[in-house]
Amino acid sequence: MTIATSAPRVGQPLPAITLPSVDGQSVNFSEYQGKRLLIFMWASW
Amino acid sequence: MWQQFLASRPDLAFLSVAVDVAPERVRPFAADRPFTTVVDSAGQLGRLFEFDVVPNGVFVDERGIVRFVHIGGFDIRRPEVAAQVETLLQTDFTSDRAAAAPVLPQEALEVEVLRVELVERPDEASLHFALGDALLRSGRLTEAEASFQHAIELDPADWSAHFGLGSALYQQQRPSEALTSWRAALALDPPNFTVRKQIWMVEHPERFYPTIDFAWQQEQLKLEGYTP
Repeated sequence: MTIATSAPRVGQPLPAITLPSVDGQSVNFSEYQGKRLLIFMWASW
Repeated sequence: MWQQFLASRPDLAFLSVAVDVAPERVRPFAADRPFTTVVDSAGQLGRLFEFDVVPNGVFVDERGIVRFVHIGGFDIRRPEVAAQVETLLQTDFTSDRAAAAPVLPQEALEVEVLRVELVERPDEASLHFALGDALLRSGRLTEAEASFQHAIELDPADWSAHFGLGSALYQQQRPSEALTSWRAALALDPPNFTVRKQIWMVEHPERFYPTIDFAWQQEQLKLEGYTP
């Protein structure tokens, strides 16, 4: 486990990436501008 | 597990990102959740944040600035993870001073989170060890020394606390005291090659530079009476 000390991107803007949702919609990260956002990354394996 | 945490934190937006290659595998896990789940089949976030393990957490402030990255083991059921997120929620990233100030170093945040935890659980040796480790990585050596000492008082059999103490002492230019601590660590965990090699590197630097003398290491193991 790593709590990234000099992690890539810390202090930088989150890129406006677009990803598909499980129900087929497109979600762009910029939609969360103005809110505090927690991104949780996981896998089913 | 996230639903319960998020239910009482309406000020926090949450985006679940499955890094599965096959989106159809994700749907059963994402069904009936009060938050959005997206699928990153192409591994964009893995390249962005340079991770190859999960689960991970990334906290982004209101201005869209990444403030915190946690790679591996980001499980909200772990008290220290929940405390990390709470601390981030309570941090003011919007003031002019905060915006102009350097991003809070990860180690400093980690230290503060652990200090909060220790208020609630002051007799937990593992927390004192974790604090010592975070302080050591921050370069706060005398504080790290004290935390490791405290961990040892609570759990004298923890080799890692003795090892950490030795590291804090060594970095304060106190090699004989460091060796004493490392030997205590090794006595508690004789098969521990990391500790043994650390002692060797201080006592026999010529066996490591300019090249590592592996034959010497094998002989030294015999001399020290340890055979794996």
